[in-house]
Amino acid sequence: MKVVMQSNMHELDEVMVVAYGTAKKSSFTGAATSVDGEKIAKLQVSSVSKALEGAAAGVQVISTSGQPGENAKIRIRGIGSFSASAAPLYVVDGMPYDEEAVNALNPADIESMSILKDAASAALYGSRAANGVVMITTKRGSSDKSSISVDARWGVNTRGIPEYDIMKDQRTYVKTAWNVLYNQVGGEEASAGLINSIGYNPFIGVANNEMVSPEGVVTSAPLRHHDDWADATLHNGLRQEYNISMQGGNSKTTHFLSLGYLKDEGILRNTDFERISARANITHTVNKYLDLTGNLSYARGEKNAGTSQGASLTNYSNAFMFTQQIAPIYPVYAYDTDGNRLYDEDGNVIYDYGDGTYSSRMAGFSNQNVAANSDLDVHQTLNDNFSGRGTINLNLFEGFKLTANIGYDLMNQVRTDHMNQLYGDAANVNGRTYKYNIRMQTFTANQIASYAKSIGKHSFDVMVGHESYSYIQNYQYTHKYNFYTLGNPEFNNAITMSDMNSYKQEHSMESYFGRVNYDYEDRFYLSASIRTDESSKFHPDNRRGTFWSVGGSWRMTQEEWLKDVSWLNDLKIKASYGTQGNDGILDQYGYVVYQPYLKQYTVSNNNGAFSVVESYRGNKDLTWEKSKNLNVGIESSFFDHRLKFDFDYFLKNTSDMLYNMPYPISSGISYIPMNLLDMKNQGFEFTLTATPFRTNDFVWNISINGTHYKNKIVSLPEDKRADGIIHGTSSLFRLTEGGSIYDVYTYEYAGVNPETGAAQWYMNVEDENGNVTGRTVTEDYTQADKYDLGSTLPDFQGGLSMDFSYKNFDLTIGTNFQLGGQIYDSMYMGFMHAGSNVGSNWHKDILNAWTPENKNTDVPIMDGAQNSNAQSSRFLISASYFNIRNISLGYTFPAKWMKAIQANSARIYVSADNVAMFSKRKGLDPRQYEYGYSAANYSAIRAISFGINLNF
Amino acid sequence: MKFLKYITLCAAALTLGSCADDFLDKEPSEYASEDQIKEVIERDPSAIQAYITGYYKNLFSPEAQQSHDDFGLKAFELATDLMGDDMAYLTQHFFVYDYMLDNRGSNYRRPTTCWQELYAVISGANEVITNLIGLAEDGDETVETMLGQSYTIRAYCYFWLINLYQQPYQWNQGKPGIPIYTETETRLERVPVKEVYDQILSDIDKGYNYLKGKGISSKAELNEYAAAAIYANILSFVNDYPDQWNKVAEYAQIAIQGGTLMNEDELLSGFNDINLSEVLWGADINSETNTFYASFMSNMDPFGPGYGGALGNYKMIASDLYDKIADNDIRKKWFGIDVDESNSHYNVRQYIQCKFVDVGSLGTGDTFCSDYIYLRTGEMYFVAAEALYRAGKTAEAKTMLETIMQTRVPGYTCSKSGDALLEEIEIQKRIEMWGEGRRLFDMKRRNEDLDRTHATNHSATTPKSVPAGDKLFIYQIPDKELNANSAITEQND
Repeated sequence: MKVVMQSNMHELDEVMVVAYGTAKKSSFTGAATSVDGEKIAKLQVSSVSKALEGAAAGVQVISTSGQPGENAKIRIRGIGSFSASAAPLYVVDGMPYDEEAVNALNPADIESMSILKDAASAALYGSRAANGVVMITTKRGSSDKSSISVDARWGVNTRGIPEYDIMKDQRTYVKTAWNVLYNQVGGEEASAGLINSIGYNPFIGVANNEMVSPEGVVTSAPLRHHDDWADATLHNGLRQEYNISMQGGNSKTTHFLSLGYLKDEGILRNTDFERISARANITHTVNKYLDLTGNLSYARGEKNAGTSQGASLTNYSNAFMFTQQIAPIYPVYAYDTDGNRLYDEDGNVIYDYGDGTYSSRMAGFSNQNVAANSDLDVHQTLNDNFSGRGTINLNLFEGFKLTANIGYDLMNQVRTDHMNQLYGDAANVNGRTYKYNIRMQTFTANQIASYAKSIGKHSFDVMVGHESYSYIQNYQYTHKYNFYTLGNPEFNNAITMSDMNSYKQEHSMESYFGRVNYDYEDRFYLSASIRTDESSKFHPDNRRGTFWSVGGSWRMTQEEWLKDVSWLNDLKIKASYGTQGNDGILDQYGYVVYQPYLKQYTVSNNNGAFSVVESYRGNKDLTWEKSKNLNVGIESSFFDHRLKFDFDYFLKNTSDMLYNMPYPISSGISYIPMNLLDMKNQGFEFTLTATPFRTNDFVWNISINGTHYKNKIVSLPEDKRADGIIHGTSSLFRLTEGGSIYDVYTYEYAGVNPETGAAQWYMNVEDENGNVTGRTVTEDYTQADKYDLGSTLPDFQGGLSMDFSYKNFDLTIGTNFQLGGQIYDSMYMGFMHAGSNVGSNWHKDILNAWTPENKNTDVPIMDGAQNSNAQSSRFLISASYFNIRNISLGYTFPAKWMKAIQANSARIYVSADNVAMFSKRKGLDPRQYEYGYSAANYSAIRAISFGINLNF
Repeated sequence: MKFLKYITLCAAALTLGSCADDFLDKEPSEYASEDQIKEVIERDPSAIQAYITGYYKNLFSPEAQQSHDDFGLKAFELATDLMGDDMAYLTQHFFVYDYMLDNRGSNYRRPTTCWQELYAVISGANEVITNLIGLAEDGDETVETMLGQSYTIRAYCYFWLINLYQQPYQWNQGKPGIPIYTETETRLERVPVKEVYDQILSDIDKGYNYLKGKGISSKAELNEYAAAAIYANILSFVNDYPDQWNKVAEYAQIAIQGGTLMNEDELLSGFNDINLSEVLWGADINSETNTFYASFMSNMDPFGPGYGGALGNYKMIASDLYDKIADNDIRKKWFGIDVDESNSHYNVRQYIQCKFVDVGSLGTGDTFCSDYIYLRTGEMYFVAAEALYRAGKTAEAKTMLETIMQTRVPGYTCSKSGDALLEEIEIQKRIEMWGEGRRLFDMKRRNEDLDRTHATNHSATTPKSVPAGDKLFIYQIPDKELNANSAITEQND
């Protein structure tokens, strides 16, 4: 019983970081999840955004790219916006923080991350909290003891997700390409014409027309080369990370100081991320009236992204597309006809660009070599991130406090994209460089007055405040080509000016807010908040948005009739309701629009004359997107807190959604921003933590979280109701009332005609009045009809983690998983062409193509038909996966050894990230795709590190 | 005392966050807002010229560009040439589906960009007309020139659109056409072909008459001769126009006055310079305005680094047309190059075009910085000759033909008459205008079938015979339009 009491005390003391302050967890009426900094520090992430994967209920992490330093996208409780940013608001130490700068934060500096999910917790950030809030709190010093912590780890980065199961055997490739011709013109002509189709003869000493005999036998002559594009382009990277921090203080002043260094090499050669970070967090109490806090941090980030940017399948400089999609017959390096590798006079390997010099390639792969260009090109981003937070608290009298906060974040970015003058895209213009200089500053200042008072059994606190926010981005872009010396990407080395632009983007907001909290005997809690914002993004008439929330909770275990139930430690029910807003309208390419209420024109130069072309048709009536948010939940704790269970039901109605309404393109533009759609995200989430086993030597903890939600379009504009709205990549999706935001609407594959091998699709059968009476199959793709083929959104997402400790050993296993949902696998679609794109590779599944001997298949005949692999349900695949996110094993040295080295504690550990990933198709990583359309993204990295941690 | 100090401190902190009046009023700087432009125009009405320059730019460097096979009007010209019988193409690369007559589906890029980009130019023209229409009565030359260009370009864009999205006028007047936007009305439905032509004719007539007598100030701008050329080409379609062929001949002959026939040097200079003596209208392109790989020369020049050169996607003349070029015809030198033997998949080198050669390959400019030529007088001699013949003025037709042909074939004379003369005019026009985007429209208005069976170098997999009026000769209305425009209820098959 005594133990319980202590634990209870501990529970009561648990403090959460919430909007504009902190709150006791017990009194909190909202829905929020905290992730402990210690957990984050175990992972090998270069951006903390990736640390949330599987870590918290209701939080989806989309790690689009494995490129070191790349941020992940976070979605809280579903996708809540359409043509506006669906990203949560980031708040670092109480002040809004730019999403792009998240990779400047050193995970080792983080005390905790809180994810605010409902209206009661997030409404005070009303204006921009419609998609939730990620609050990051950095570490502070404690006044009771000083300590120094040193952490060093070294590791190896390897490819986390394998290649697709593509054709690697050159003879098989040649034979398959021959089959394509054979099926069109017969064996004789196929053998004669094969060279025209594949453009390269990979065999030694074989005439071009004898690579395959007219009977279909591939020559057994030796191959000219055995190059593997992936091997030549990728490598294993080294990862090293060092952190040192000191903290301490006295009753007046506390400090936390840290230095961090990270060098994270990617698996694509010449890609890496390096970060040097420093932080100083100081608090000082001047006297009983006045205390101050100052947090300063600086980070220098250097990211080399290699030739991996732009994941689209038409981007031939993307290594993850190129190495998988290029036919295996084409060599990486230059060879003579006898298969001898060629070297230049200095003995360096010569790369083959397939431009006719050494060989020719088909299907767009000529004039490019991603293995070579990664050494010669530059794709570098340099960031200087400065972040400052300052607080003055004035405690005027008992319970009454005035607070002024300022926050200033500055990011200076210099980005250089250089394409070399020898090979590839820019060879003919003698090299090309794009340079971007971007300076982003965010300034937030607020002034808050608060008063707290307890009268008998009643306690309340009241807070009112004012906040102003301004964001200024200065952008400058220059493009020159025609370079003189090799290896110098700077403009002083180039003579032809192509383009130079600069502009300034500004966003500002002015807000007033207030909050009342009330509790009765620590049993009943009520809170209410209101916030009103004016955003510069809207026309002066439509600027203001007012958002509010109410919430309440009842701690039932404080009631007399439950107090004596020994197995029940805590039981709380809670409910909240409120509204939040979003002003983050984006353009068709996903960029922020700063004046979406104005009609705008591009001004450019045409031979010394002004040229003006309409580029954006704004909408004066545009205003805030609003979401109404209901949350009902319980929090409970049983059996000496060895079992805890939290459950929340949520319903989020988003109305007046910011939506780029398709406009007839005959009007000269393709869309107009409007407040149009209504959408609903409804679901539940839970977190279950348990300690099934606990002795002095051995502890086993287990934690499961899960989220299920359904997304539903509630209303469409009247004239769109009948036909819905087509949208998304390759027009794959359709919005209809009652459907979800990502409902696939495309042609439905009906397999292969077993007699002819032709691909078939379904088409409607109509009676004379045009009514659909049924459906049949057609071999003519243009006659096929589109059908609703379900949502790509998953049914269930979750995380399961376990940790064990035995004596001085500790072991953590973190996993996450997803059930249901679909991916449109465009990579796979590219691999399944029926010979219309010879020169690009095939998936091994193509070997099952229809032939007169193999009639029972769903892979059509290889006859070069363009539509054979056209968009259809054939390329939809389940998005379910199970991922072993992290395993780490540590050993803490016995305390008695520590005295010898004058340390408090020492621990060594091994930690592995992205250990194993199980998805429906090898090579497909569903975690990378927010709405279920695959592309050639940078593979996730498997990082295995060894580390040592010392505390003095 | 202390108390006061803190309050002062607090007040200071408060002022940090207080807001100036314009805190929330931000003017765009990446783009110019409508109001900002209005202000400029109010101060200086000639600033409206920027809209005109803008639509010209949109015609060769389109805002809506999606891919390297799109570079505005020249891309549409190349695409339509590849849909005809005179251009052969063997590789599977950009423009291959145009050549296969299979780039017409409503969700494909080509029908989308043709539609979107031509309408964007129309939108720009409408902005000018709306702004200037009130000043039209004043007789101000600058205003008239601006209006003239805008009506003319609108006519030309609608002319392209109606012929890309519907079969030719003569047999299809009642068929659904295309939406019409003017300064006064917006008709979102598929306006019938006949009414679309009414609009086109009204526009080109206004355009020509505003420009008449104003001469040429820049070949990068539409002028009276270019407008006359467009007028002639439009009227060639309008079989029920009063005195059709005499009118076509009249406007073609006006256009001819806009330039002088090119000599051999000019004919073999690569068609990359707007200053060539025959050029009536084009785009003057330089290193700042060029569109690199997404350009005409990238796709054509066999010597350059682009798709039509180093990347091996050569554009060829069909062998049957090549065989019809007289050996002493200067234009025979437009075809046939030495191809590097290592490009082993190419063995038809005598047909590869070198009519269009980039300034970068010739060393007279930067790569892909060639000018575009939209209209030239050479075409108009053939248009006039055909029209005169059809108007019954055979002798004049023959003279017209001989006039230009003597600059192409030294000592050329034509002794043919009747159908043979017409055929000669048509064949010589096909040779002359090869690669300049005229063949498909001529086939359409003459109701000719596509017949690729006579050439030996057409790709094995492309359609060889397609009857006139087949759906393959027109595009479907793009999905991007249909998805947003419920006034359109009929789609092309």
